[in-house]
Amino acid sequence: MKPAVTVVVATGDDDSRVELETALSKIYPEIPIVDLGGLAVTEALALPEVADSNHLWFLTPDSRPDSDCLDELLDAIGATESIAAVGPKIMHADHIVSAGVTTTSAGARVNPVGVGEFDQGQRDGQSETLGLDLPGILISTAELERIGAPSRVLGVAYRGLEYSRRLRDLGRRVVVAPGARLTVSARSAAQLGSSPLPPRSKSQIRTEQRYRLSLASPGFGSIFCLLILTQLKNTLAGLLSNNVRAASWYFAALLGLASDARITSRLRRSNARRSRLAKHAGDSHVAPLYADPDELAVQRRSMNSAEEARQAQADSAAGPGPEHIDETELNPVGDTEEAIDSFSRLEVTGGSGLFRSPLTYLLIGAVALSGFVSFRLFGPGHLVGGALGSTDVRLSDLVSRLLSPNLDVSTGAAVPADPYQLVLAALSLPFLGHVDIMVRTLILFAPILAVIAAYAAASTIVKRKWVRGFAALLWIAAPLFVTALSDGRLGVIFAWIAAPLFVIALRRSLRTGSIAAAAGAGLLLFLMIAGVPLMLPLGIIGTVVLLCTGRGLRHLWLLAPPLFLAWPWLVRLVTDPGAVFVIPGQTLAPPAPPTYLLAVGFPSPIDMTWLADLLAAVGISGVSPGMLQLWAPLLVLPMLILAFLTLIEAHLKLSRLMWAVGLYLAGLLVATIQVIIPAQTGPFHLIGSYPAAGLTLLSLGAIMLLTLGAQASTTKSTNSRRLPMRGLSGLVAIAAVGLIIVSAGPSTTSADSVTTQEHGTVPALAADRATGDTQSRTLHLDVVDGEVHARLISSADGTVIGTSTIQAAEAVGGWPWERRPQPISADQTLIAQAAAALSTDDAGDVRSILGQLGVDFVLVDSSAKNLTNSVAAADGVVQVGPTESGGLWQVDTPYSGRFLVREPDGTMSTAPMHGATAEVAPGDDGRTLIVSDSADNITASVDGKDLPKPKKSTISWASEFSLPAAGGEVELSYGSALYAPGVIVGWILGLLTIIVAIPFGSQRQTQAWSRTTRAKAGRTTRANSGRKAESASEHPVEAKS
Amino acid sequence: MKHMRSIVTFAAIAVPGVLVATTSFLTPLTPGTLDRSPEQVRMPTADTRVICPGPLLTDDEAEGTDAEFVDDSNVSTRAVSASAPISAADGSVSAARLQVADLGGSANFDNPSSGGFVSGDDPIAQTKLITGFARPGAPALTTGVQTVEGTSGDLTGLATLTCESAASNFRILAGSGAAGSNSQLLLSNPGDVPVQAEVTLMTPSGQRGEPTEVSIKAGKQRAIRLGGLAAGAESLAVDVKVDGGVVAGSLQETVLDGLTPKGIDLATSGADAASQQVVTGLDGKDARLRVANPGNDLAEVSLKAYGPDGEIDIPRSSMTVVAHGVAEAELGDLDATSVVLDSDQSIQASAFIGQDGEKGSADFGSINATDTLADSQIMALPRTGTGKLYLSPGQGQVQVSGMLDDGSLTDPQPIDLNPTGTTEFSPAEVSPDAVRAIVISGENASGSQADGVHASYVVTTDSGISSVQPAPAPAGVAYRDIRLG
Repeated sequence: MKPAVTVVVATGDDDSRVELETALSKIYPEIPIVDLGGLAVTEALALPEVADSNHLWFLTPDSRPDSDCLDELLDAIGATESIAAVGPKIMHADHIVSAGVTTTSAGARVNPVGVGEFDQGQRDGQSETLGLDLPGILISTAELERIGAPSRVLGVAYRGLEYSRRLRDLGRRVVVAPGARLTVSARSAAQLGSSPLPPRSKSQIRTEQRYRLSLASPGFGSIFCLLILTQLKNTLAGLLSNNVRAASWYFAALLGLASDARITSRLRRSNARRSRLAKHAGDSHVAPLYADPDELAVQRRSMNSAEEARQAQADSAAGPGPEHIDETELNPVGDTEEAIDSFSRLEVTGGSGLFRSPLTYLLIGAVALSGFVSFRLFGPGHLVGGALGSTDVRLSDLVSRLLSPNLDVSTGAAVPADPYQLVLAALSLPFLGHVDIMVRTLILFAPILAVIAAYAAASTIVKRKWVRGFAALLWIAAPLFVTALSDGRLGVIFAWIAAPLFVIALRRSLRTGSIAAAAGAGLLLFLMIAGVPLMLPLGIIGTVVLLCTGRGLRHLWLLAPPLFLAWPWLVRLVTDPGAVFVIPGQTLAPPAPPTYLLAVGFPSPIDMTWLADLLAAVGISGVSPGMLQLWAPLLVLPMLILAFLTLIEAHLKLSRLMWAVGLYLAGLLVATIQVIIPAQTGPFHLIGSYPAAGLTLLSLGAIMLLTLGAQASTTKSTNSRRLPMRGLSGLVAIAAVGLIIVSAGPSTTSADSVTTQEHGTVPALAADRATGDTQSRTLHLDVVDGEVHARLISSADGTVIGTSTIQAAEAVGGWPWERRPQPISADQTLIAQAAAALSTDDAGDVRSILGQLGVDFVLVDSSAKNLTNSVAAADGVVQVGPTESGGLWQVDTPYSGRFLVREPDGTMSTAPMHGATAEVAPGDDGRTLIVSDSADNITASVDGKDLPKPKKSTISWASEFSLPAAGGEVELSYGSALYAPGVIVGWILGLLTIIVAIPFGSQRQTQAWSRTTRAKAGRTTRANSGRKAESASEHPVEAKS
Repeated sequence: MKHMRSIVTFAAIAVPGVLVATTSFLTPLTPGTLDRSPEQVRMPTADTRVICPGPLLTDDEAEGTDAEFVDDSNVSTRAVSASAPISAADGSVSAARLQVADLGGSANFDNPSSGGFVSGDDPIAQTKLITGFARPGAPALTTGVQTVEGTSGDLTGLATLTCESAASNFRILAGSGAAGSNSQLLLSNPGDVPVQAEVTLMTPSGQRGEPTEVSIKAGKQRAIRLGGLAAGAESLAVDVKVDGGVVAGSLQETVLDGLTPKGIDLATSGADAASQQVVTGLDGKDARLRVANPGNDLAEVSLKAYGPDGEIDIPRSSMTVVAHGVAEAELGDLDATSVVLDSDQSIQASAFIGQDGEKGSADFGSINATDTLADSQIMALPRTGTGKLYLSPGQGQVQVSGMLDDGSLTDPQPIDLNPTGTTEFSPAEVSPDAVRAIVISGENASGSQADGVHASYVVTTDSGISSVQPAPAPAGVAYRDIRLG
């Protein structure tokens, strides 16, 4: 007799039940279907369908058993008495979903069947299993009374497992009947794999948690605590691995732990009851059936890679890019290490965790570099020193400098502001005009910004993130950059942050034809030009090349921002082209490096005295800095070897090779030319051009080459196995850290480092007079190596405002191969004479000279003791007292400042200046107003009428105007009245460039453009192939080669 | 394009290689960063004030305590002052007004601006202040020279000195703390307020003791005996720093060997410390070279000597001077020699020459290292014995004009310099009449073995030897190196 079977579903949903009924009715028309949803065991047993049946067959609504499925199951369950439950082989399409499942000892589900395994009978040998998945389980009806119905609080993945565990706990067997086959829907199939990691859904975590809680009948407390800790750990790990979603799921599971414990309490109680019944405490009776955690790990990896493969397939289906094709062509399957990795199941690449991203380590490194180099930036006051100058200026000072054609340094100069100062002003805006805070922030964050920019830019040539990280590390390890940080060469810092971004923007413009990208590249080019003016000719050459090779007129945008924002400076460049060789900022005089140092990126000779000092401090004395310098070549040796091997061994794409080599060689030549061209004068040196522009190109080229070499070392397995390239790349990375230390070290001993200072360059009394209505100046005297060093200090001297590349270039003249300092002008001679008289004992009266120069105060450096004595002995100066900045003397004259009225008899008086006007009282005829400023673009007017210049001026270098006897309001104006409006118009146009550079709707444009280019490319390819075919027919031999 | 890859690879290796090889190792390119020379500016004109220290100070108190002691010294102290014509900025030529006064006292005489003036060899009994008054654009080319001549007794010999201007810092390389030597530092304050001076003694073993603070009243001279401060030190250098004013300093030294007089000397500071020093006019017996090292590190000094016919060998070719110390080198008998000293540190040098007198007595004279000859410098000549002008090796010509008793200047006489040897010149060659002062111009001369040409005048009598150096160029003629920027 055929045993009576009742199909049981537990959905509570009529629709799905009806669906199942219709499906089943075709095969097993006689079998009744019941829904036990929401019924107690006793109620269920009371149902006539259940009571009358011998076996219960649990199905889900999407289960579609084969026609002989039930017979196979009944045969299996009847085989021996010990078998309490049998299950079918669950299929989806033609691959196996589940044929008996198990868990690890910790309770994570393991399905021995891999993802997408085709049924070739390979799972038919094993029938004994820890558990079965619910669809298709057949039990005898008697068991229902003993173990109850499957729990509804557990998810699909664990419901069957838990139900099977009940039988196993009672000592019964659970087996698979491989002959029985049951098909489920794809949705169910997806849920019946092994427990995935990273988790796929929140419910997965909850179900797993509930399953573990439901089994924790004896040791509930310990499992509960363990789960708290586990979920907490998983939450943190999720956060650290950048997987916020997973972290939130784990956290939700942690919060839901209590409710899960409550929900599963009934299961736990019945579980405990059965355990007592079966007289066993632990899970030793099922231990042999548990899966190994390693087995789970293997399953998980195969699931993840299958997932990735599916993703990749979906991506490639969405749009096969040309690069993708290139990649596959270059790396045929099985030839690359990636391919081998993917087959070998050994994880090499890692996931997307925070600790697995090189950027994390780079950022930590950049922060360390920043702390190592820039710790001096913390402190009260403002920044001074190095190439930076004092940041004790307000935004309004900066803006008025930008709008004025005159610079108030020394005796004054008629030069426009540098683009550098415009960048400083623009960057200060987000800092509410605090120039000092802006500069500190910029220098502190510069390594971080540079590393991010370089990491991003590296993606244009390499894809692997560790290689990109390698490139970024080399970028911030460049000696030029590290030296710039400690010396406060903001210009180099600008260029270092902007150059990688410029590469990205320009490449984008070339590839996508985006005008926004071209304009963005132009703005970045402006930033680089502002920092390193020699980038201007390089930028112009590059733009001309782009235009001539027909890359699109939009590349004119490259030159638009410099033209709009710095036109006054560009105009002056025509007369003083030497200004492009000057680095903006205060003048430093690093000695020129030999070319072998330039070739490896050092902007100046290596200074190792700091290390010698350090060694002496720890007791190793007698080590000369010269000996220590010999270590530096060892640091660059790995880089040279890697570069060499890359050149001759790694078969780089020719275009990339040419770019790298071209940039490097161009950079080296430019840098070599730079260091032999004197560009500036300092008091003690004629200073060679700082090779920042050349070294920027050189670094770009060299780092590109090294990066491509490192890339080759990680991908080319066949060729480079011979070469220890990978180890070499590691050595280069270590050497880069060494380079940072070598370049950052001198900042500990150098006098050129940026530091903080609370007091001003001149004492407050003198500074007040300088900004007051007399605008007086201060003569600063110092003794360096026994020589008197004199500086005339006006309001802008020594600050970030008080420098001009044009002014620096004006001090040097001659052809590039014989550039020499220009002879000093009359005003400079006067300053020198004053200094000479003051530094000589008993040299008479200095009042008239100092008066002509508008000097009210003489400041003597406190270290120059002898000079202090000499100045004290001079006639005409009265000691004010020692100050923080040095000894201060006041010039004992009845007049003060730089605006003087000279009476016909030669006596002088002050003409106080209120803004740009001075009130002159009526007086004698023949009076003159002297403005002791060497700029020649000053005009004076009374009531709108220009004042004439006297026939014979008293001071040849100053501006002098004949005053009317009636006096009046004299208005002084500097330069053309159209200058400031012109500059503002330039700014407005510059703002337009910024708006153009914002990529509004670039997506659409990009697609449209790429469509057209693809179409064009298609046409040209066709045309080419047509032509090739022609030529092939004409020259068959050539075609073969 | 087939070989493009090879070409690029080759270029990438060869171009830097060739560039580095040719520029770094074979022929280095001229680097852009070069040392820049300082700006040389003509000083604004200022009055020239010099102080002659007056008669030698003797130990009067010894007299009377020893029955056998009789001070039979016959010492005469005289001074000559001169003002030479010089062209002003406006083209006029005149000699500045000259005034000679007692230090802190009344004027002795005041000679108005003239065509040239030289005073008689007037005996003086106290410290004299000689002032040449400059006008704007017209410097004062004036000087004074003091002569001390002893013919018998303890003070036998000759001591001459170009009167020195006051300064806030100076260093005199003379004097000794050895037995038999009596060295005194004379400090004169020409100002209106008292000044505080700090005197530091440098000995062969380094700085001796802490600096001594002395206060000098306005218009007064004060003597500091060095024997007590630096007892036993063979050779000394005295470093003086003044706070709040200037003083003029000179150092007198008298030496007795038992009862035999071994000479008298007056010395002042010479050229300021620098890495190179030139001493010329080493013409006499037992020449010695003294070098002071004011720096904080040991100084290695190399010596080169140039005789009348070229470079000569001297017993010492190098010296080592401890920090804040002095060292002396015996050079033996020399004939018209210039010595060039070079060092890695700033050093200061002077030399001593000697001459034997009657009855075992002897005399010595100090020679300062001098500054490079400027466009116009004046030197009054001591009116005793015979003297010669010595010029260190150089190229070109030095112009010398003699000033006669009436104050007139002779035509400039060019002296061709010997590029490898010391040039000797007797001022008597300038004019048949007695030459009282000379005006030297180094405008057309340049140094060949050292920076610039240096001059020194050595005078010898029967019983003594001494030297004077040209007065530093007056403010308005002198150039000074100033660094601007």
